[in-house]
Amino acid sequence: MSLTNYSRYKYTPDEMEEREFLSRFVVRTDIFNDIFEDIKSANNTVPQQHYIIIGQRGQGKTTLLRKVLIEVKNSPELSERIVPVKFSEEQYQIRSLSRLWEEVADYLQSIYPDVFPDILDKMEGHFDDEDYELKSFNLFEDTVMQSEKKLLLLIDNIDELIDKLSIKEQRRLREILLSSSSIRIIGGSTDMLEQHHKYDKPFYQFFKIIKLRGFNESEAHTFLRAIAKEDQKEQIETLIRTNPARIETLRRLTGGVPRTLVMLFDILMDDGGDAFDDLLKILDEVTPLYKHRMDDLPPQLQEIVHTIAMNWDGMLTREVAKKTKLESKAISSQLKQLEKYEIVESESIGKNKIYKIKERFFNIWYLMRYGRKKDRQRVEWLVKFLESWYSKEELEERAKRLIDSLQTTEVSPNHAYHMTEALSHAGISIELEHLLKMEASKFLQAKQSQFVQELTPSDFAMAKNINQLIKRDKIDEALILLKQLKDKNELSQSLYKSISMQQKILAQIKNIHVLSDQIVNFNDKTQCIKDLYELDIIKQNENDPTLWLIISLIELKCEDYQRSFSNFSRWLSTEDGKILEKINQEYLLTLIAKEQYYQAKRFFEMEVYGFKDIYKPIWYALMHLMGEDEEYKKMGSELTESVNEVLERIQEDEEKYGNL
Amino acid sequence: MQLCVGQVARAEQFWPRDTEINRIWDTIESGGHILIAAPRRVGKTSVMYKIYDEPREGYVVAFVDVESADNEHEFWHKLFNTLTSETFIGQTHRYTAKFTASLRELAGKVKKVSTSGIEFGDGKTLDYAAAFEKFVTELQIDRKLIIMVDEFAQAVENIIKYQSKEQAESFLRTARSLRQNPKILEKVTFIYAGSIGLESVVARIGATKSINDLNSIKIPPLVFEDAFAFTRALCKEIEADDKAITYLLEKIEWLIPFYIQLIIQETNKEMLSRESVDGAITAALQHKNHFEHWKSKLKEAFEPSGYNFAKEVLNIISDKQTIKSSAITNLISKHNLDHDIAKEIVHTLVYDGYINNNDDPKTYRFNSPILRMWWYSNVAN
Repeated sequence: MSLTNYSRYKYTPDEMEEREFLSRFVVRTDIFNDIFEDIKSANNTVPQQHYIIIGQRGQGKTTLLRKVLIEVKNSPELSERIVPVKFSEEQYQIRSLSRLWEEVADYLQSIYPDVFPDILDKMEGHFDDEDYELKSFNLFEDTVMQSEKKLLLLIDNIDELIDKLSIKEQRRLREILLSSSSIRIIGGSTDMLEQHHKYDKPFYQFFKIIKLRGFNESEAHTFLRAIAKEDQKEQIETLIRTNPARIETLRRLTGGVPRTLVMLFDILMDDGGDAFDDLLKILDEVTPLYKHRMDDLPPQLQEIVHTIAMNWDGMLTREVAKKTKLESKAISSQLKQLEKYEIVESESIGKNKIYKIKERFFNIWYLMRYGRKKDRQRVEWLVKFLESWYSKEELEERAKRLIDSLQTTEVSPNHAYHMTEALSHAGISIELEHLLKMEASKFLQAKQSQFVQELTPSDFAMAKNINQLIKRDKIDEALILLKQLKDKNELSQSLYKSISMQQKILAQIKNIHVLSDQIVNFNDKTQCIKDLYELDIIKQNENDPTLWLIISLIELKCEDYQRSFSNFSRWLSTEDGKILEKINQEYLLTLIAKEQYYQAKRFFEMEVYGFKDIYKPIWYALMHLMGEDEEYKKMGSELTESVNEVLERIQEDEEKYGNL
Repeated sequence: MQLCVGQVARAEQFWPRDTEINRIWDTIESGGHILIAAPRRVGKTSVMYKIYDEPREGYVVAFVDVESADNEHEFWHKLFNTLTSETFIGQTHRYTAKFTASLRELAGKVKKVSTSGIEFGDGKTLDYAAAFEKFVTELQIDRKLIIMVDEFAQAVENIIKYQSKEQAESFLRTARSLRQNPKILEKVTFIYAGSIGLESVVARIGATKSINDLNSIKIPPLVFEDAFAFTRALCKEIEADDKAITYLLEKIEWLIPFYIQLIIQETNKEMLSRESVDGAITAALQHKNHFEHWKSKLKEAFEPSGYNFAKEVLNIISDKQTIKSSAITNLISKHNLDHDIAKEIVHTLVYDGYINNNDDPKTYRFNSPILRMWWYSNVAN
């Protein structure tokens, strides 16, 4: 469907004001000139060369058609003898050739009444003739010939029109193209071949097909210069001069397709959010078409497209095979098929091939539509753009600007949500991300936008969560959350360290007991402590907090309580001491087993450690053992089982240590 | 010389084919009807238009393309339409005054062309043949009226498809008897041409006799020297030394103006060299609109089993360069085809320009390496 329904003129070449339009037509001048030269120099007594301009969405077909229209109209010499006819969207209700000629006649009668005052009327006079269908073109052409003008039919989406013609009509069209010098057709068509081999129809041979490719590097520069707003022009110039690599990346990511280039450029340059809203509008518009495109494919191909689209970046054949769990051999032929349909394109890297979705815009649509919510998938494309366009500092700048805008509520919720998500994945600092997410959440809440539920938590918030889980020895859950952290460095590293510490020490707890028991069993206790401090391993790792824990445990068992309590407190004051609950638990249980109830109580009552909360069952067990029934009664019944377990454990330990 | 890819080559764009044109005129002057026999894209229509644009003294030429005619009625409608159209009548500078006047008068008399026949001024409706005879008989003309019917074979094929074999046969017989009618023979010459072989179509319905009065005039590819001159003329704005042109022509091998132009077009005015030629050929093969129909035409023409057979034969040749007739026979068995039908299919493939067995009757090869390359990449695989 022709795209004429959005607000922003940048994406609708037909709605732009003429002068502006012409000033922006700077790249495809060669193609235009070739066509224009042909029109100018044509021998008007013979049938003309017809053209079809092919290109994916946004390549510039409509623009080219309009350029031809304007230049023909503005040329005093050409406008004398050539009458351009521009088709509008309504005219796609045409289902037969007769209708086509009638529509053109209608257009001519309305727009050029001086030249064609009654062309449609004349045709209408014959509507009821038995052989009207057979004669319609002749009736039409006779009038055109009498006017001594030639018609230039500019038909966007000509493939849609032609698809509606019967085989007979297609043949008729070929007859006409072959013999009539009254009309020249310049059409635009999207590149989507799918399963239908469109170009096998006989009359297509009469068309010269011009394929529009994406802009190359210098074309991209020329283009950006032309479309930059006044206040952006200098920025662009500087950019081109000092950092062309950035533009090149943008060009590559968009495939050099003008409209995608403009859109991304807008999104990157514009802080307000109109650009984003426009993007979403366009995505809406193309959805029926793109969805149809996907639905047309058999399931296996759909899956492959899905896999590649979700990745955004190109994938090697074997990567696709792995992801889709299909055999490599089968995959190759499927990929080839998709290439034939021009849905994917390949690039050879040595012996291997990398596949990606050909139409980048289609890829953007796919991610936005099928990307998992609360996941970077949806905005993957934007993340890539941001990462390649901005340096780390600039990203942070951008984030800060967004925070400001959010506070002054000048932003559209669409923009707020997507840009926040994308920025947070693009690599801003943990603190900034957290700030941004908080502001965004507030903002979206105030706007009552559904996006507020779809905001993903900041790394900072997640880290808090993860810490809690580690403390509660819920390592598996912690690991799952850890994978979701965007910051793969600072934060996650330290958390991983905690986990591994926890796991290491948990593994060692048994060893600690064994070790400490061994030492305690075979030596005079006081001597044991002395010897302990003489041990090399102790001397070398004096500053390792874990050691203090181990020592405190040994001292506990050797009944060197003072030193034990002191070392345990030391341990508790460290980072790990604060979070490694399982380990601390061991100490407390041993403490109680050694009947050091009051010291245990003291530890529990030190609010800073939060033991009463963390080791509720142990606290109540202690209270029970100390006979403090009042306190014990406060226990909720749901804890009874845990408390009993603790008491059992203490009992066991007592028996163990009671013999020492 | 301007590039003209796909459209009919008219006026300055037409490269002289004097031999063939003269042969046609000689046949016209000796009183025979003509079937221009040549495969697709060789330039038949362009040749016809040359005759149309530059008739010899005293001859009047009408041109009608009948490919969209699905039945006899439409065929005649088109023919009469052409003969009575302003386009035809209005070319007074080419006609004698007497002829023009007579033509106008007759045109005025043709009131209606309907499914029951043609109503000639006096209220009587005659059947098509009778009407045509009347028209010609009453036409005041010194020399001859040449009626060029492009895509006649397509019309016949349409009639077979949308009406019946019998109607097609009857139509062909009528056409023949008209051609042989002395009243018509003395004033009218028919020239038939088309992108599919009339002979094959007609053979399929066993009506070969109905065209045995036609003189078959072949339009061959250009000979090397001629092709060289043609290419040189096309390369006015392109730097091209003799070696490069020779390389190009050797690669194309089957030298029809269409392929030469298609490939030159793809050089994008770059200097001609081995590399640019190779690149241009690769680019040219991407133009699906110029090649797809070679495949789809087969699908239209044959039953599925016949189509599969034809496809396999071509697939093999596209891969191995040639195929022996014994291998073809083997394939006939594979596809369970009637031998006669299969032979006709092979004949069609030859006639329509896919393959030839010129060097050795027992070995077939693609006419055009370009087509072979396209077929190999896009159909065989």
